[in-house]
Amino acid sequence: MKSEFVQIKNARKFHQAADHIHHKLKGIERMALVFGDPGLGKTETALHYAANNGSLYIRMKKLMTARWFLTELVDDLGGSPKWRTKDLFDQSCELLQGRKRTLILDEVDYFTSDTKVTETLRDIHDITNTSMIFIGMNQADKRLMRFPHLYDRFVEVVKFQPLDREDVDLMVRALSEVPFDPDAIDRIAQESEGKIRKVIVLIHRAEQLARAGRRQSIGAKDLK
Amino acid sequence: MSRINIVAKMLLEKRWADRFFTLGQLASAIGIERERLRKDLNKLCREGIAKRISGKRQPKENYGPGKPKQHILFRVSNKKALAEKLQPQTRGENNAFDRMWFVIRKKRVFTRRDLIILTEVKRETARWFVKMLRRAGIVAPSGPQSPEWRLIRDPGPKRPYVTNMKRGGGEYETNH
Repeated sequence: MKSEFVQIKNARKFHQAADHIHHKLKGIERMALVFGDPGLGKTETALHYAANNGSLYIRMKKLMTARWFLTELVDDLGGSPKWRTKDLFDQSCELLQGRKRTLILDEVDYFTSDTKVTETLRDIHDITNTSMIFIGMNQADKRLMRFPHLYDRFVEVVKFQPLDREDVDLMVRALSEVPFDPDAIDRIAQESEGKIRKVIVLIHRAEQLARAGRRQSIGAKDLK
Repeated sequence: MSRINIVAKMLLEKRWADRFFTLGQLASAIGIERERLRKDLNKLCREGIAKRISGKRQPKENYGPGKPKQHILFRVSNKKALAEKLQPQTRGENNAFDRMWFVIRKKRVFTRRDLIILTEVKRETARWFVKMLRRAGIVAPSGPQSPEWRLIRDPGPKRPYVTNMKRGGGEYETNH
């Protein structure tokens, strides 16, 4: 199997949302929310985007407090976190203002119970004009709706959808070293339930079968 | 300061930058051996910073053992590149290694395939970088036959400089 990042519809939507929040206009917010069921590639897409665009990526934790978050942010920005919370906040604002970078926050569902974190994020966004992408699980939009002053700032809300046949076809063509018949692609689309992980497992298994049987292409009946 | 930087600094001075000079003139001004200076000037010529121009052939009575048949003249041809040579060398930002280090720190447990997919680097580059990190004692394989690697020591967000680490580990630059 080839090692390649496939630009499926969800990834393209993520990139479009990231492009939309990168602007220099005053008065227009720079926040986006990305959410969806597990196994649809949210984290991988975010990591791919962050690694290739020099963005900051912070995975939120269940026990994370505002102070813990600021410490991690300053550390990722290359600074030595200061001791006092006020100094830490000023330091993070200073570092973010010094060099504009998109801040990607994964597993945002965790901090929806702690208003201090949401308020701190809103403050940082308003003071430094930093672009922020929130990534959450399914229902993350509903959870964040409880904070209207934060939710109003989302200029882009993207829901990751399960992979359709077109996406599966794209993935098979990009990743498989053996050609698949159209009926085999239909079968993978049906069996995978739109989950990336399952599509990859099915491609891998089909490739093994093709190699063992010395087949030139894979049909639906080979996938049983 | 390295020898080539001393030569470059001297050549940037007005009295050398705007005129022709011989190897002997520059060697006596800097106070280094002609042979070493010749190597440096030849290097600058290869980089297109200086230009070598043959001078007039000397009359027969003037040359003999230890004396050149003709003076070789040099001239600085690219002052901008010469000035850039004196600037401290900085690493490019967000290059392939920085991207891989970012993914390793964020994932903590990773495979080489993750690095190739997420950072769009070649298989060989990912393999080499993981090998160097292993020699520096920063990553370790998860198990004897496992394709997974674990981050066992985190030196910080800036990529550790682990170029050509020898077997058995050793010190590495953290670039802090």
